[in-house]
Amino acid sequence: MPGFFYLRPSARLQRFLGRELIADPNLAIIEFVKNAYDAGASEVRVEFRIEGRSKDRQDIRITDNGVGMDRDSFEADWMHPGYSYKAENEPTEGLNANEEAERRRQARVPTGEKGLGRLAAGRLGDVLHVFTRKRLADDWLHVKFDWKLFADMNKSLEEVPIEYDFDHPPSKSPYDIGTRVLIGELTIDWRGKVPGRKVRGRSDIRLGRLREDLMILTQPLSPVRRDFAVYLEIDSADPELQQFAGEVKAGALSDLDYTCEFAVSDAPDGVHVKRTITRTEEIAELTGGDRVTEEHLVVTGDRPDQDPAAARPAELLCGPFRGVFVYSVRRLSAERAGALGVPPGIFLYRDGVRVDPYGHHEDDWLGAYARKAAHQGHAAVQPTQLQGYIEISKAKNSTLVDMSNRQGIVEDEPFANFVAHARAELWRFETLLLDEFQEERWRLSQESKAQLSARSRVEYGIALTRSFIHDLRQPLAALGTANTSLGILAEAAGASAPLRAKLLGLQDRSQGYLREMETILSNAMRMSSEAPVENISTFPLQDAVSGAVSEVRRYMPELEVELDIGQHVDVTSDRTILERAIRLVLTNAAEAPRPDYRRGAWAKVTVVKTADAHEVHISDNGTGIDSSIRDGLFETNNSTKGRPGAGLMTTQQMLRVFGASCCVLTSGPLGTTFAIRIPSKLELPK
Amino acid sequence: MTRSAELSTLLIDDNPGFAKELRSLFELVDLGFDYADSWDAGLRKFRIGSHELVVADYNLPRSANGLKLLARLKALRPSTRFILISGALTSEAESLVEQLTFVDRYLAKSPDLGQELLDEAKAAVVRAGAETDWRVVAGSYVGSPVDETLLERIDELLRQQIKP
Repeated sequence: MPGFFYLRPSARLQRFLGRELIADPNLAIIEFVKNAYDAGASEVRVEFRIEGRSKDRQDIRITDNGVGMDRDSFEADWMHPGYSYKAENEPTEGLNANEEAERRRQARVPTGEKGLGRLAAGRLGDVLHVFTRKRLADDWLHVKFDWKLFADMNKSLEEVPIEYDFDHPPSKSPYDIGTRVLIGELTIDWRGKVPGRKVRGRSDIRLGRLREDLMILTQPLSPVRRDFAVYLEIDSADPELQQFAGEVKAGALSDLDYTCEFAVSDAPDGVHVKRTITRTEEIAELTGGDRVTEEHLVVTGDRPDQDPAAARPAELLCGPFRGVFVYSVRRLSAERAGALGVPPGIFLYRDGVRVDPYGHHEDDWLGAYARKAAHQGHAAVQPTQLQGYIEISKAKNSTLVDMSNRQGIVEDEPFANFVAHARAELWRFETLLLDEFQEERWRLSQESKAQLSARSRVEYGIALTRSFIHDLRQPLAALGTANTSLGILAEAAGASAPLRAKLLGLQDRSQGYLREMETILSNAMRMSSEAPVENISTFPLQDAVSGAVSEVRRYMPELEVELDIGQHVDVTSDRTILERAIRLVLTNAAEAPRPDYRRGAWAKVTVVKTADAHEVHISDNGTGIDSSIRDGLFETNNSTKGRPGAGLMTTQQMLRVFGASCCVLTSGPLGTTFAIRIPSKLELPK
Repeated sequence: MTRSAELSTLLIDDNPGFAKELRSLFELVDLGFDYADSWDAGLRKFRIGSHELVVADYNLPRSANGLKLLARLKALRPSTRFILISGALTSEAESLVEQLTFVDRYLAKSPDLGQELLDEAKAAVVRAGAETDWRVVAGSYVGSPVDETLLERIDELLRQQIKP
C-alpha cells in the first residue's frame, strides 16, 4: 500500500559535502572569512599556530567581531546544513550588543547562502571547535564537531552527536563578541609548499598562496570595503613564512599603463556598452593620443556585428555588469603590479566578494591564454600583464547561480551569454592595445633597428679604420727600416763631412715625419677602441699647448710662433683631442694666405681665462677670412686656404664631444684670431 | 760566411716591402737573415736553420692560430728568442700578448722597428758567444705550460681588430 519515504542522509555525507567537494583548502578558509563578512564583522583574524608543531598538532583559528550566535541561533543555522539565516535575510532575534556589526550585517549582501560553508572545515582538519556569543553578558557557547564520528555510513547524519557547553571560552580572543572557529588535527601542513608545478605569478608557499587569495577576496581595483579588514597571523619565526603575515590589503593598480572601465547594460533599443579608457601620461605621450577616451555603442538584433571587436550576443540574458581591465604594456609596470602582490588575471566578483575559480591561471575563462596560444605566442595582450575584475551582483544578475561546491557559476545559457559579452570586452581592449601601442612599438622597433644599423655602421667603420691602420703600418715600418739603412749608409759612405751631415740630417727628419705618422695612427687606433669619455683627464693646459706647438714647429720650422701661455692652469678634457685641435688651428694659421710684402708666417698662441672657461687664442698675420666662408667655417668643408678642406670642421666635431668649441674671434686684413674654448666644468653632450 | 752571418734571424711576415728593407738593413751590417712568408714555411725553415732570433708577424694569411705555431717553435728550440710584431694591436691585446711565456718581446710595426730588430740581432750574436746553461733555458720554458685558453682569446681579439 502507498506511503511516504523520507531521506535519511548518511553521516558520511558530511565527508562528501565538505572534505571531498572542496578541492582547494584555501577555499575552505575563505568560506569562514565570508561567514565573518556575512556576520557583519569589521575584522577577521586568520591565525595559524604551526611553529614547532607537527601537522596533527597545528591549528587554525578564524576569529571575527561579527554579531555572534547564541544557542538557539546556532542550532537554527549551523545544525541545518543547506539552510541559511542569511538566505532569508532574517534579522537576528533579541537584543544584540554589537549594534554596529548588526548594521553592517543588514547592509551587506550575503556571500554564502547554501549553509554548506561550515562543512568545508572538514577539508582543513578532523576537529572543529566553534566559540561564539552575541552579548558580553552571555557565556561563550562552545561547540565541538569531530568529523571522524561522521565516517560511519551506517549512521544517519542526525544520529551523530555534536557536543556543546558553556564552560570553555576561547583562549586569548581579541574580541569580546563574535565567533571563533578553531580547526585542529589538520589534514595538511601549512608550513610547506603547494604541491604540483609552479604557477607563474603565484607564490608556491601555501601561506603565500592563501594571502594572495585573501587579497583578491574583495575587489582590488576599486576602494576596498573599508569596513572589513582581514588579518593573517602566523606564529612562525621563519621569515619566509612571516613575510605573509599582517593585514591583507588589496593593491592599487590604477596607475598602470592602460585602464579600461566598461559597463554593459540592457535597454529597449539593445545592449549598451560604455567604455572609458585611461592612459598614463607617459603612454599618452608615447602614443600621441588623449589620456582619456570614451566609447559608447549599442548592440542590436539588427546589426549584431555593430561592435567590430567581436560577434557578441544582441541580448543580455545575464543581467548588467561592469568591469575593469588594467594592462601593463611595459615590463617595469608589470613588475610593479607583481610587487603589489596582485596576481594577473581577470577575477569575478559578486557583491564585492570573489567568485572562484575565475581569473586564476588555471581558469582561462576569457580566453586570453588561448588567444595567445592560437597566435604562436604572439598576442597584443600578454595574459601575465593583464589584471582586472568583472563585477556582478545577486540582485542584478540573479540568473547567474553559484555552484554548490563553490567552484564557479552554473554553466547554463545565461552564463554563456555573460562570458560572451565579457570576452567581447577583452577582445575590444586587445584590439585597442594592438592599434595604439603595439603598432607604435613596431615603429619603435624600427627605430631601434635603425639605431642598431647605425651602430653597426659605426662598428664597421671602426673595424675598417683598424684594418686601414694595420695596412698603413706595413709600408711605414718598411720606410722606417729603409731610412735606418740610409743612416748607416750615410755613416759608412766616403762622403765629405758636410754631405754626411746633410744626409744624416735628412735621415733624421724623415724618421721624425715617420714617427709623427705613427703617432697619428696610434692615436687613431686608440680612439677607435675606446669611448671618448674614457680618455678624459685633468692636465695642465700649457702642456697641451706646448705639445701642439712643438709638433707644428717640427714640420713647419719656418713658422714663427710666439707663446703667451700665462700661469699654470689645469683643464679636464681629452688631451689628445685638444692637442690635435690646437695643432690643426695652428697649422691653419701657418698656412693662411699672406700678402707678398708681409714678412714671414707668424702666429701667436695665448691662453686666456674667462668667467667659465679657458681659451686658447691663436692669431696669425694672414689676410683674414672672407666673410662669405666665415659663417660655415666649422660646419662645412669651407677652407681658409682657398682649397677644399675639412680640418676645421673635424676640429669642431672633436671638441664638441667634451663641450669645448672653436670659433673665429676676429678676422681682418691684418690677420685672424681663432679661439678654442675649454669650459672650466666638463660638459658632456647628452 | 762570417759567424754573424751564420747566426741568422728568421723573419716570418707576408709583407714583402718590409722584408726587403729589413734584409737590406741586416746585410749592410753583415747579419744573417732568413725569410718566410707564412707560418708553415717559417716552421720548415726553422727546423732546418735553428735560428737564434725569430721575428714573426701575427697576422698571416692561410694560417691557423699563429700563436700556437709560435709555441711549437719555442718548444723545438727554447734558447731561440721570439719576437712578435704586429701593426694592429690595441693596448688590451698587447697586455695579453705580454703574458705569453714563449713570446720574449712584442714590438709594434713602427718606423723604428728596423732599428729595434737590428739591435736585437746584434744582441743575439753576443749571446751566442757567451756560455749558456741550456738546462736553465729549457727548464724555464718547460716549467711554463702553454695556456691554450689565453691563446684562443688573443687570437680572437687580434682577428677582430684586423678584419672588418
